[in-house]
Amino acid sequence: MSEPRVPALGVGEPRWLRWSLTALTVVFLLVFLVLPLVNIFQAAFSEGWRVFMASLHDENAALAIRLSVISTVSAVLISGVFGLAAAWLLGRHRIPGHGFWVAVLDLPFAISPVVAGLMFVLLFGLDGWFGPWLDRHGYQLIFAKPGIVLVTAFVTFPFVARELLPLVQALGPEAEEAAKLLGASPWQTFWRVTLPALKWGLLYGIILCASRAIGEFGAVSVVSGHIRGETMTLPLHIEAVYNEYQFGAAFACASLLSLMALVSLGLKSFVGWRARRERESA
Amino acid sequence: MSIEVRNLSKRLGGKTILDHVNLEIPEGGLVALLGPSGSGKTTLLRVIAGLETPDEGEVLVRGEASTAQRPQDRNVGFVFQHYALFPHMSVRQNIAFGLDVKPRPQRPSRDIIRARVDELLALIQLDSYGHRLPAELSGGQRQRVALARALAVEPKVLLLDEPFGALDAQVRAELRQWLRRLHDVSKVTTVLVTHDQEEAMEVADTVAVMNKARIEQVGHPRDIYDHPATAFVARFVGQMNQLHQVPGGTAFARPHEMELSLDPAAGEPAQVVSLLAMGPLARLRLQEASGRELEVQLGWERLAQLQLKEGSPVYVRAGRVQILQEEYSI
Repeated sequence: MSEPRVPALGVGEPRWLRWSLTALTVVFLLVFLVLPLVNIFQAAFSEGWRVFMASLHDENAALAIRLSVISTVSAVLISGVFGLAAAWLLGRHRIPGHGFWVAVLDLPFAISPVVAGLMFVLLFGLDGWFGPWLDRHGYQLIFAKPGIVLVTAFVTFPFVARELLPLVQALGPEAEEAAKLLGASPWQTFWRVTLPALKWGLLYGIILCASRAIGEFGAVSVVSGHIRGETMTLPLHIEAVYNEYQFGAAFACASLLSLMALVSLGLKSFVGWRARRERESA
Repeated sequence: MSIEVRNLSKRLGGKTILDHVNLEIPEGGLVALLGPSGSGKTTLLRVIAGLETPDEGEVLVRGEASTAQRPQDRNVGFVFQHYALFPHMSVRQNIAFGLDVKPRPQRPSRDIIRARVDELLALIQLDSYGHRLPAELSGGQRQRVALARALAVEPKVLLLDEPFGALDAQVRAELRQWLRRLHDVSKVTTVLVTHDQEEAMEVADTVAVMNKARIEQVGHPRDIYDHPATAFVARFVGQMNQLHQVPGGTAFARPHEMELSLDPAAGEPAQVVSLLAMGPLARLRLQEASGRELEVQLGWERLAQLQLKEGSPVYVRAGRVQILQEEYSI
């Protein structure tokens, strides 16, 4: 939501420069972004509508879609709640090591998803720190669904927190103090004053988080164990069927994933536009 | 509601913000806390509100210690310099907020809340603005809404933190008089924080001058002007000529207490550097032979008698001299 206003391409530039820059950009965008995307949809339907539908209704595909939706929703809830809490804590209070904690927020972005997955294996795997204890109590995180949710939440955590931190700082403590002095309880202050001021930013962060979560491959791949019908998410399923030369099925599922991406892109633009409008009127 | 501040101290990050401050605010009074920025006046106000906890000392409201009470239980109205209105709520919703959040048994009915908001909208002369968002109002209008919001819960005490500081001069002067009239009618005990001495002198019936975490003088505006207790107060409130050092202090005289004459026996020689005659009073700036500059205020009749112009020689003496102690920093 921080896209700056783009000024019209320099009016003073010579015409040939304007045209060639524009042409270059358009060609690049077409070849690099639009064409591959269109191609995915074209490949998805190359073996006909029937194969397309069958690929999505295939039992393993349906289970993979289900797991992807579950892990995305859980990851959004986790990073939504903790991201909001972290942004509020870091934006409103000076805690010891403030700069360090703000930097830590970005850790999941800086670390390769594969490494993130391995970190969780080391923590919760059977040879890991907490693995044996969890195992004795009958819980399995790694090579199971909870592990997938956990790494997805880890990888997507910064989106909400990063989006909200500057908003919390800009909001300042005064509106909350005013609410408190007018007799509002902390709960009322949060729901009636803090959250409404942050709602567009929160929604924006959630959309970014969801679109990243649904497509997450690397970290999930490490902790999943690739058990068909059990721990396969949609991206893992696509890779598996592709490796089995079922190109029609792979592209059908890939097109579904791309469609979700397009929808979230649209939502993101809309929410970003609303948020900007709200901020400008404030 | 009378407020008593007893022996209040607060330190933050190794810096003393309040240093054993004592202050009594009478029931129904309007007290201004006046001081330069960083003097601790806003912190004192925030401690009274319960937004800051003191390290030492207590605040008594009508004889009862309020230091342990949470801000939401203190029933104080607070107005911030930058309004702190809720941006997503209309003017009406902002004003009604304090009533809306009351627990169900104490909450007035919808009709009563509506009537109360109407009444307050009329009071702040924004009757037809109820459905607007704060962003659609001017600064002066926003601050009036903030005042109405604070008054809606019928606070025992009204605390104003530089309420007109973000407004331009004309709006500020209007709101100042409006606030004074409001206080005359409502009689709510009010504390106003300001760094603008004119504002403090015009609005308040008692002024407490703060400097470096302490209150240097409390009194009626007139007394503060005529009889400043310390050199700081003398310099901070109104214009003051610093005449000379004497053992244990500095000699001061107000510009209107300076006397001019053309008779060499009647004072020290000086020259008129600049002269501004506006209305019944003329303001002159003189330079003495020593290079020291003096401000002088003169009635226009006297000015006409003396026939002074820029560059004229003149003899000056102070009609009333006050010797005030400089503070001793430790």
